[in-house]
Amino acid sequence: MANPATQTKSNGLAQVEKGESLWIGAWYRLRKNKMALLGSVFILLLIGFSFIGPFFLEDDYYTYQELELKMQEPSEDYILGTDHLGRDQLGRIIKGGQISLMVGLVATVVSLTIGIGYGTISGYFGGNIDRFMMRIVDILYSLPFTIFVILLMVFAKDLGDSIDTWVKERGSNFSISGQWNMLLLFVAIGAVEWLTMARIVRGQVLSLRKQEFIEACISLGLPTHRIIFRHMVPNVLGPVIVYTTLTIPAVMLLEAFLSFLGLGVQPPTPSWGLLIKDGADRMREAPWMLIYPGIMFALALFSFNFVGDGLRDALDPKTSKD
Amino acid sequence: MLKFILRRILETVPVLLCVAAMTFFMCRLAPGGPFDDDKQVTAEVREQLNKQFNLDKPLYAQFYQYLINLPNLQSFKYPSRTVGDIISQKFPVSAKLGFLAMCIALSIGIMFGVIASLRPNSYIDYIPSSLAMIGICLPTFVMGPLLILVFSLDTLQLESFFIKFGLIDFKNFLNDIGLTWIAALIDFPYPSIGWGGFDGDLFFSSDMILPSLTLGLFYAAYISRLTRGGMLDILTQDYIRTAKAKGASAPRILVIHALRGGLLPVISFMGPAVAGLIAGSFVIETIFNIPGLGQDFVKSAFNRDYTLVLGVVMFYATLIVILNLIVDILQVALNPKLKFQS
Repeated sequence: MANPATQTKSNGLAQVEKGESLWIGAWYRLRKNKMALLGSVFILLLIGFSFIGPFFLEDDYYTYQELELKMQEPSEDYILGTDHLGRDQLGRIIKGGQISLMVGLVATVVSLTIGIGYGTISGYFGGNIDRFMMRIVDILYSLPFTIFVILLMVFAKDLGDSIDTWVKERGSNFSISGQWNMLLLFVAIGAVEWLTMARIVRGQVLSLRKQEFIEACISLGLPTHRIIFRHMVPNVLGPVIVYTTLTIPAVMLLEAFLSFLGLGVQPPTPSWGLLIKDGADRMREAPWMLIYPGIMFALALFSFNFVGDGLRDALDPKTSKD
Repeated sequence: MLKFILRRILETVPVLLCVAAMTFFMCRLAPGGPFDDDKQVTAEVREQLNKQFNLDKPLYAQFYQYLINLPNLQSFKYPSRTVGDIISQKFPVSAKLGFLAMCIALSIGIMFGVIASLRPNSYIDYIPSSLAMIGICLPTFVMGPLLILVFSLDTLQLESFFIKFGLIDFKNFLNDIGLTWIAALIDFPYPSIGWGGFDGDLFFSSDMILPSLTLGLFYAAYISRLTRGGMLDILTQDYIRTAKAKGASAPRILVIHALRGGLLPVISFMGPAVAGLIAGSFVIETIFNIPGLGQDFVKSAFNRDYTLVLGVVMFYATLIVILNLIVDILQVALNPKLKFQS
């Protein structure tokens, strides 16, 4: 019996009830899930690989090219071969990992913020406000959102330059066009992925509102913000964390999808989606250009999904279906 | 029930209007225009072109005109053809791809999900469940090229490919251990790279095997997870035990009693899945070079072909809204609990 949660339960009558936080119980359950542990170790490795790896390489590790060495098979000099422009595939995959992971994290934070805000408001106020807000979510759910993201990426592409000229006319040197594409990716993806989060948070808040301890808070006359932030948010945190880990792979998938269509990250900056696209175009001559980024991408999605599933089982044993 | 359906149909009108307005103003407020890339065009000619395509009128007038007459408007890039022409010519190709993919997704997904749910947490469960996880983590744009790589290179190339990865004489090995049908799959002439043109056969043609498999397997993975979850919920319910106690046979319980409830999550997933399938077909059509509507859509957005963009978006939006409506009605029809609520 390694799990004190079950122990407390079975001896609950004999012993003085020992308080156990949700998090400790969750940690015991998570520790048993080998795939989730393996996944989190792999995610850590991946972060190290993409963000610490560059310190061991030259500054121009992902742009340096030798045209006569294009599409070289994996060898001692180039462990993962070279791409169609004679660039080191390993360096490209490292940089691509940085971009993909960054988009995954930042766009998830964007969607998280929108989703939690929307869901909390809807759930807390309830009634007609709730009905109206959730109907909007339902309707948005049924829209072809990927199509809108594609349109947004195409049409807002040159907007960065327009903003730059606008700023320059007012005598400032601030420039946004270099990062514009990334910003656009964050916003476009974040604006799409918040729907499920809003639903989950709203459901949680709604059921919390009926619980006695919240009623107690209200009858004690606590201010609304204190009720929300001190008493409700910690209780909503579990499902939010679970869904966040599951949003990251979805976001990474959408980024790769956009990059594959030529709408995401702009060359020479690589992302895994772009590398897969480059590889898919030349897979007959240079299969390694497709296979290695493909493996990295699939493994990353795999780990995030397993960790997300594991966290769900650990934090929320009731809703878990596995 | 009738009231519910009527209300849902009425709701689609503002939704479609919103989609049209969003698309139109997103197109028009962004910098750039359809004739900006033609460097040779003089200012006068451009003005003439703008006049011909009504681009000189105020935005609301253009929007109104687009709304009432969309299918008959000319495409900017191909002025000889109307939006309706292009959609009716290209959509059957995409529809066939989507239809075949959906068939594959549903049949494989439900089968795997049901098998996995019969003996949870045993090998019968683990094998289909992990296959589903692999399917989810191998996105279409990885799976597609990989399938091409494995199945549609000619034999010589394929063998050298296997040798490179240390699998010398892979095909003979497959034949030796009795997996002749996999070996035959490798030799099967897949004409999937080139495109023979749409042959009008909605149900089968060999150049659709790999594209629809690529698209379908991804959704099969999701569907099998949903089916498994739904079936696990249902199989522990009291009414299943009652059916067992009354002596109903196992297949009868499974098909008649359990599947009806167990497939509910799958049915509610079908709405978003159709939207996803449409987006997925953009990628598949790029990979396999299929001349469907998806490729046209991405191109038309790049070309600032406003009429075609709006036409395709409205077409897809209407399609999705109608399919969602059907899904909603099916859901109510299959789930007696919802019927009492509405």
